[in-house]
Amino acid sequence: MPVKVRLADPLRQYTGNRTTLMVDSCYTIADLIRSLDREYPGIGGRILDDQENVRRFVNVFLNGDLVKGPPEKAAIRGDDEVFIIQSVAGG
Amino acid sequence: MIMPGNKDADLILVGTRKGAFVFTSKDGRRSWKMHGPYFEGTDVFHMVHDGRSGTTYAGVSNYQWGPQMMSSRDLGETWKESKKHPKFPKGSGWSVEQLWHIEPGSERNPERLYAGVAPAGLFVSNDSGDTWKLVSGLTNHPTRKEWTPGAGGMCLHSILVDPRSPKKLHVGISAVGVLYSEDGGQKWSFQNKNVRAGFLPNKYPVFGQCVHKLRRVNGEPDTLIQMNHCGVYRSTDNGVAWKEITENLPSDFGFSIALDHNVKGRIYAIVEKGGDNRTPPKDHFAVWIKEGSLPWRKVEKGFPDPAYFGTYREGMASDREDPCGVYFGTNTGLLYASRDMGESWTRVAEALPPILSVTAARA
Repeated sequence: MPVKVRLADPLRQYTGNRTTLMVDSCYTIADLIRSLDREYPGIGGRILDDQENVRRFVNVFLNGDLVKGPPEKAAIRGDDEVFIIQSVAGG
Repeated sequence: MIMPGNKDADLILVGTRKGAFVFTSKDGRRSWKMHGPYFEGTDVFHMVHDGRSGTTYAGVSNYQWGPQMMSSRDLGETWKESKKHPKFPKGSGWSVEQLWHIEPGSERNPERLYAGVAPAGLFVSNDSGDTWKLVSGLTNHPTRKEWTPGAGGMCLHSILVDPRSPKKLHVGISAVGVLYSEDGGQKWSFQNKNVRAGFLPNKYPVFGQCVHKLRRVNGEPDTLIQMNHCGVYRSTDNGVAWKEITENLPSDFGFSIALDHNVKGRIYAIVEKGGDNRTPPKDHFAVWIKEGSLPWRKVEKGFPDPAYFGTYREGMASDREDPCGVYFGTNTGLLYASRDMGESWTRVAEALPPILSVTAARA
């Protein structure tokens, strides 16, 4: 079963303006992001830093819960829903 | 491909806190037309136009989505993202946070570019910016664990490629100082002799100086100039030793410095009250000019008075025309240009976002 991914608007530049995608064959959030990057080159580097951690001001939600810790350890299953959005900041 | 209308135009490239702008002049730098913004809403710490290829490069640093090295073949009308951005190796523990400086390589290596990033790192591209590789000799310097950042982060902001030998490189890092390599970046040595670090117990350490900007005098390759947290310095032996030339400047603290392209030893500088109050000395803004051994003299005409703005380390540039044009942008979004070697100034733009960088070129 595919995972539904919803992306923040700034990432649409990589996906041909699509903000909702279905991604197959992923077992972790890291898998998912690698899969996205294969399909839409460059998008992975916007979400993950050089050490392949989620960037400090990017949030990944899995079925509504904030994913904490390494994306390699965040397991996902078919029918899950993943949101990738920037964190709020102000000033 | 540069758009036909902009061929042979003079250019001012402006990076700001909220995007990038390109200004073009087709009438000998008398009037300027604004293009942009590009990368709206995003920090652009540096932009350069590489005359070797006609490509414009922009270091775009989005604090949420990370840095992107971008290039344009049509002066900003369209942009292409690098296939492989500057990136620290996995396991190093570092991630590129900002792209601080882009430096074209020598004429002998027309596709080579260097990029300086924070945290302090030097990257090289040998394919006109498509892919980037870490210069690991600098990252692995044996003193690296002792390096400390300045208030702007530990940024590598200055890169000099020796016109006599492309393997000879200088870099400036805040607050580490000047480093030099003779072998293309494998081994590095410090070049901070006689440069003061007034904020440390040992005022003249081997490293730990806060160089703000490093430049080389055109046509006199052994002469280097640096604006430092603690004064202005000149070296006439390619950085081996430095002599302070702060002299009659009203402050020893500043970020912006530029050199005349034609008159060797003519320096343009902007100073501020100090590290804890980055506004003009006595609230009077001036561009200070020095030639050789003559004292600094100020040019104030044409600037707001009193004034409470400042400029950043990439905030001033000179062009290669004769007479030399000089340009600077302020942290309040004012952009000024001089087409007569800094003697008179006109305001090119007055409502830009805070200006991070200014460079000048010819299309």
